[in-house]
Amino acid sequence: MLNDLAISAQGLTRYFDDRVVVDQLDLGVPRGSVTGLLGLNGAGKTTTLRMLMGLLTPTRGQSQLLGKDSQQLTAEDRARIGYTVEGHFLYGWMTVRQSEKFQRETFPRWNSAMFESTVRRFGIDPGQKIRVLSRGQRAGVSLALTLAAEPELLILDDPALGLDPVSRAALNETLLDFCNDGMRTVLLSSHLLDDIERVVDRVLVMVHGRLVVNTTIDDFRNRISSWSLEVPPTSRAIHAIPGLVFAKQRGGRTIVTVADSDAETEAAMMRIGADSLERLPITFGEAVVAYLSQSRASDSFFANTGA
Amino acid sequence: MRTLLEKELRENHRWLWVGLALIGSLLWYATPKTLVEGGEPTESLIAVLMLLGATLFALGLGVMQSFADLRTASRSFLFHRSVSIGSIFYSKLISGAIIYFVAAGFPLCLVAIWFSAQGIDYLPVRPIQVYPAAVVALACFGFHPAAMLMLARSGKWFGTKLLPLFSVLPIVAIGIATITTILHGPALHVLIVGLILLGNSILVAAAKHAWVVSVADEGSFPKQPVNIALKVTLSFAAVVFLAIVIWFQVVAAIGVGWLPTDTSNTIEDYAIDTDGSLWWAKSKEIRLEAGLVFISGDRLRKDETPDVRRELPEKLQLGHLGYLTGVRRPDSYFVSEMGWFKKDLTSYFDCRGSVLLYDRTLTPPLQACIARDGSPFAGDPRSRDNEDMFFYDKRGPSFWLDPIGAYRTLGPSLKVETLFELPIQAKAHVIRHESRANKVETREEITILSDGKLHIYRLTDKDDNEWFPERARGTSEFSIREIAVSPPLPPSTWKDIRFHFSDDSKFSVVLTGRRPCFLTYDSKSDTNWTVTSFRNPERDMNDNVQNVVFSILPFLSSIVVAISFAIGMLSNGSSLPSIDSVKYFLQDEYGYVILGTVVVLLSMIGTCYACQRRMLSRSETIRWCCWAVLLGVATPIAVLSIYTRPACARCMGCEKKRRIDLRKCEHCGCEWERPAPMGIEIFDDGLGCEGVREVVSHGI
Repeated sequence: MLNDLAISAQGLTRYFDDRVVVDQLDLGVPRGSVTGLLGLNGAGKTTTLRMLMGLLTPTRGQSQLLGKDSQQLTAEDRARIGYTVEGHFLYGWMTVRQSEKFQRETFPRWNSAMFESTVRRFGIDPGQKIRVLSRGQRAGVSLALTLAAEPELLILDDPALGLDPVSRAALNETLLDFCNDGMRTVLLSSHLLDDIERVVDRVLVMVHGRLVVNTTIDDFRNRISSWSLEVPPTSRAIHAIPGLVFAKQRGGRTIVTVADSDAETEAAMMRIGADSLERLPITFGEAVVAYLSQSRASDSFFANTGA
Repeated sequence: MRTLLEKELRENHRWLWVGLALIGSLLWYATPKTLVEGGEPTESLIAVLMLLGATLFALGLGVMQSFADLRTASRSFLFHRSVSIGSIFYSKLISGAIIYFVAAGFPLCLVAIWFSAQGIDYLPVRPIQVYPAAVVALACFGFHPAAMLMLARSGKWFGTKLLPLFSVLPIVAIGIATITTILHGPALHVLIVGLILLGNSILVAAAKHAWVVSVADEGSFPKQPVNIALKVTLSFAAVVFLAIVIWFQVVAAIGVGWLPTDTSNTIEDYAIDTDGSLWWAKSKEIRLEAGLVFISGDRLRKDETPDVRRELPEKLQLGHLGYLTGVRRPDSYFVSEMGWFKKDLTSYFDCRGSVLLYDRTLTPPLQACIARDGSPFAGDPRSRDNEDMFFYDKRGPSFWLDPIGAYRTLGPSLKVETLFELPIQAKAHVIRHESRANKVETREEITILSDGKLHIYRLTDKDDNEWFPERARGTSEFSIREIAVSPPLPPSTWKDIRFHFSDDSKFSVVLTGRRPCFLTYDSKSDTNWTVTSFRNPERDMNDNVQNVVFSILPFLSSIVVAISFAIGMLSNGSSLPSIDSVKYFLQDEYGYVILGTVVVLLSMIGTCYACQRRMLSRSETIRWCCWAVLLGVATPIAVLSIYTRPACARCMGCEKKRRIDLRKCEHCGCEWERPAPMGIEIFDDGLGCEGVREVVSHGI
């Protein structure tokens, strides 16, 4: 089964000073999948990606990319993996063409056509200096440089950060084109839930350095449900609901989001005194927000009720 | 690699101009432009300013090249590509070396060209004078990999991060040694350059290791809870230790001049009476013209400590002993002021064996070039190289001594004539004032140590009368005659030779040192020296300073002591240390040997403690303790620098503190507890926690 995983991790842990940022992460990402990695700022996404890329030593635990130990990746292994850094770092003193030359000569499989088409999609003049490009154009160059190396595995750390809608659309189109053949694996970290829903087929959610969701996007949608209850918003009994992800107040009713609800879940809701129980439709975005809100407990009534 | 090299050169070429401006301006300042500025200090000044400029530039360049690509984003971008991190490191190192050596070498070449173009007709300069600066530049390049090492390794800036910079200091110190050993032959210089290359290679290897292995290890592990009292005590101890080291260095740097001195104008010294007995006496300068007057003292007897405050017997006549000093070889290419020949003439000794006479009022100023083996000649002496000639010591304008003989300069023609040829290790010039027939006569003697024997020469007039008349000074109207030769001095390690040669041809010699002895020899009756040992009565300030300076050596390491011992032997022109010299060293310098042993033991204890703090295994601890024998106190510092102190957390199995970076508890073998499920986890089959964990069963 390990051979079917493009990315795997076992007990991956990282401390910074006396703070555990990634806590015993066990992870598997199948080959050929496009996976979204979601989490609040500080949840440990970038740290996890950097450990996976072998750019940060884990305090303990281990991880593998394409079957190779992340900490032992050779130059040949890295040629099979594409990685864009958060913020799209590029050398500002280079032109786009010089950046391409620099990248081309340090990656053996180079697809010039892919580079040109990606750059065109973002409306970039190859003769321009990197330092004069807009944030969106810089993202385009960064993506073009990564994709033109024809990686088997693509890891993108928040590529859409700060992009305008047009650039985001171009980014999504480029990614969809790249994954079109179903042979490449993509791990994409982002805060943009709409984009994630449009592009990915699997989803990972990190909360406080721990992985709480790792499944297909459809499975995730199916296993999350939202209910409207008539119970006092401050009731501690609400925590008796099995699989409670998050609860919030809306117009005098309490909206709870539950994972893997079943008859027992409904019975539990009835037991805490819900006079009327109403199942609500829930979007992918709302489900993810429920998970993420649960982790940011300080500004929710969920915390005030003893979570 | 070529692409990376191009990237580095394009990114950092702007620093080349900074380096050229910095080093160029410093070298221009050091370059002599007039006759007054020429001579002895030229190569030293150039080398010292090169040291300043090259250190700053190499350090700055290394920092700038590393810092730019070690930030999180740039590091990720640069390191994730189909090249090894070693290639990235070497591209930075090579490009840094290119920029550094162009910035240092180009101004240095310009200075050499300037010296060559200027020519010796105008200034006592030669292109070779840039050589020490070139060696210093080579040594200072060590700051570049040291800066790369410093930035790549994890650690606190005020903890262990800055320590790599200290590792360059021995390399630079070896480079600086070139200034004082510049004329000591190619063997020593090959050794110096070899040591510099070796040191820099070790630094490069360490820096590469830090980049390849530790570059992903950003951040530091949490500190263990510490005992505040213990921390304060250790900090205080560290401060005291540093203060002592700095104090030693300050003492060594400022020398005896700034230390408290005896203000009573009294001098304690050896003296000899008319019977030839040795005294330890205190003398005082009453008036300038009256010279020194003995005020107290004690006779030196076998194995007794003299009391210098004891009153001297009446009618006792004491005289000082003379000093024998080594005939120094010149330690620079040009030695200024070889003596006045006439007004407006400035003289320089050219180490190739000639004396250059410059007249500042004429153009070109070079007026004469005096060589031992011929008449003076005007012009460039380069065609008459004679490596073994050293006109160096002088007595008046017309008498010259060098390590192989004595010479006189004949009158206005400045022709040089050899008086005698003898290998000379040390010499003394004794002037005696004697009253005869209501007239003070000046008598002059030259004492020479050659092959362990003392030769007494008397200066006579040209008719070979008894004494050289004072009126002939400054002329060539004199001759020289050997009047006595002693047997060879016994082999021993001595610091100074004090001597007296009486009118009745008796030699009295004191060999000073840790085990001083008094030797007498009557050239008319004795066949060999009569030796009496006595306790060392003197401990003056110079000795104390020297002892303090030498005491630092064992603190460094056994390797440093051995290297300094070997360089000392080589720079003295000796071959490799003989068994006898090592034996004498161990006998006479037992204090240093004991101190060195104590330091080694303390270093081993410190190393054990450092290994324990860093939680190293037993085999690693033993290995580092072996290094402590060679490297001394540097070893525990190295352990603390190389290894990060692992953070600990309480073990749920045994309640003891366990390392957070190990899968199993080092005390009870317990694994880490899984975080409790939150009840909201959603995993599809096989890819949840347990699924992945089951597939991969191998641990850390």
